[in-house]
Amino acid sequence: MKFCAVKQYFDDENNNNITSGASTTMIPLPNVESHPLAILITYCKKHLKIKANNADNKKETEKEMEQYEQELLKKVMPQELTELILAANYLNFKEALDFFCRAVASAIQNKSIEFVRKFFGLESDFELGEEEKLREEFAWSFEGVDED
Amino acid sequence: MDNLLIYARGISAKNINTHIHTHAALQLKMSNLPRELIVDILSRLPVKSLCRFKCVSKPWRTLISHPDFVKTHLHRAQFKRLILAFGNSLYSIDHETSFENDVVAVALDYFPLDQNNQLAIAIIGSCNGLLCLRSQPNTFFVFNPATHESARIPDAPTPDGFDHAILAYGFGYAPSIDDYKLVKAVNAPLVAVFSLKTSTWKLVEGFHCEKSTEVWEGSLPCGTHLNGALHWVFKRRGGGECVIAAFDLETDTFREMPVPAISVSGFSTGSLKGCLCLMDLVFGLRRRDIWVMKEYGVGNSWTKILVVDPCYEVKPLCLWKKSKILMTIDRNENENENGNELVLCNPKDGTCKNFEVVDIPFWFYADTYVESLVSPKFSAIV
Repeated sequence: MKFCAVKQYFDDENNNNITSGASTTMIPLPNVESHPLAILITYCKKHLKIKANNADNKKETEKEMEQYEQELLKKVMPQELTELILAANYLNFKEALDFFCRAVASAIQNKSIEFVRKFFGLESDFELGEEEKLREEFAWSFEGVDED
Repeated sequence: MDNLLIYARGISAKNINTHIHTHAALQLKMSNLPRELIVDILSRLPVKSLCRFKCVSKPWRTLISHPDFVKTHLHRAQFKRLILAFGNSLYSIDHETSFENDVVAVALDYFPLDQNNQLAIAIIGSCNGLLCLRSQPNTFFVFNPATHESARIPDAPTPDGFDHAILAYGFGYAPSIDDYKLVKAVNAPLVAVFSLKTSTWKLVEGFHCEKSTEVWEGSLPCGTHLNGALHWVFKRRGGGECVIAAFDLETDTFREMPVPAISVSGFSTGSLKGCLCLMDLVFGLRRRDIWVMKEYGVGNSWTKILVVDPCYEVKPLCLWKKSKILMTIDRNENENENGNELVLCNPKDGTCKNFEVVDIPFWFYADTYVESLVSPKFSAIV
């Protein structure tokens, strides 16, 4: 089971010998909202499906997964990525976490300081002149950066 | 802070000003990312981005400069490049270059060389993103091409005549003590070792061997760094047989390993996929064997993986796209000069393709490096 946090819940349930005659067990996930959860479930199902289709061919699996991921990224707003990362982290869903962290890294790689601050909701807390000194020291790293 | 967290969970927050609109709310969520997830994201970035992002905020500057983060980032070893030293200049090439057409190299013009220096730069070694360079005569630097940082190694307090009797050099990393060392081995039984961590030189016992007659002043062998040790092939004094001398960088002592075959002229060393390689050094234009020690230290695990077409010297650089071997081959007809070409070789059928690097003629030293945040500065200021 990919959602390791949920698996843990099932294991605990079995250990407590709770008879679940009902097929609908409510598992509380207070830290995950419905929208990112829906995306993660789709991602997981797709991942398992692709894996099953290409049972022995690891390369094919990777290729198809990459194509699906590219398509998925087109539909997701950069800001939504945080929710997805937090959800994947809470659910302990490693493949999705890896993918979404990669996506954020890719999104910010060539961006300016201002863009990154806005993206992460950060503010400069440098003293007067401190930031200028740093910018001068690393002036070469500002070349070729995307315009905001 | 608590108010903001409640909002992020989508529960209506009556305590917050109602004019916060969706965009701002999403930003607030991003700043809730726990530290380990920020580290996960940042550790995937190239060095250039990370140096720039040190200017984002104080916490980010501290995080990116922290030795733990440097290690995490290094561990991913995502961005690899080739380094070429030609004459007085350094160039780097993207490791993932397609090698379909002529290769374009980026000039590293920020390396602080004395412009009056007429002599060539030699690459002594490369590990964890640090390069050790020698600008003749006998001045050494440790340089990180990704962060643009460099530091000059102080001169060794060695006895007179030491520098003239140098047999070989090496630069490597000892993981058990987290230290980088530059080693100068001489013919007399002495070895001078410089530790980057302590910023001091010390003299230790060397390896009793004969100076190889094949080696000339211009290109002394540089040891291959592997598994926390430097490796050279020396000829045993008196006996004339070759043996691999492995200098352990933690204990500063030598141990021996056997060579694959008897060779009058010895071997040069290299490494491929984490294994030690040997290439025979018989003089002249001839086919050359490349041997790989599949199991470290085990003499009978030596395997011949390739025989290269006639050349003067061959050095494997790295595995390229998991299937081919990138190497430098010297086929220069002019015997008075080294002439290195970049060649991509398919070990399955032995076919080789050579490439020209735009604006860089033959005759260069080549090595590989990984882009990292490791600092060459001895006091490792954060």
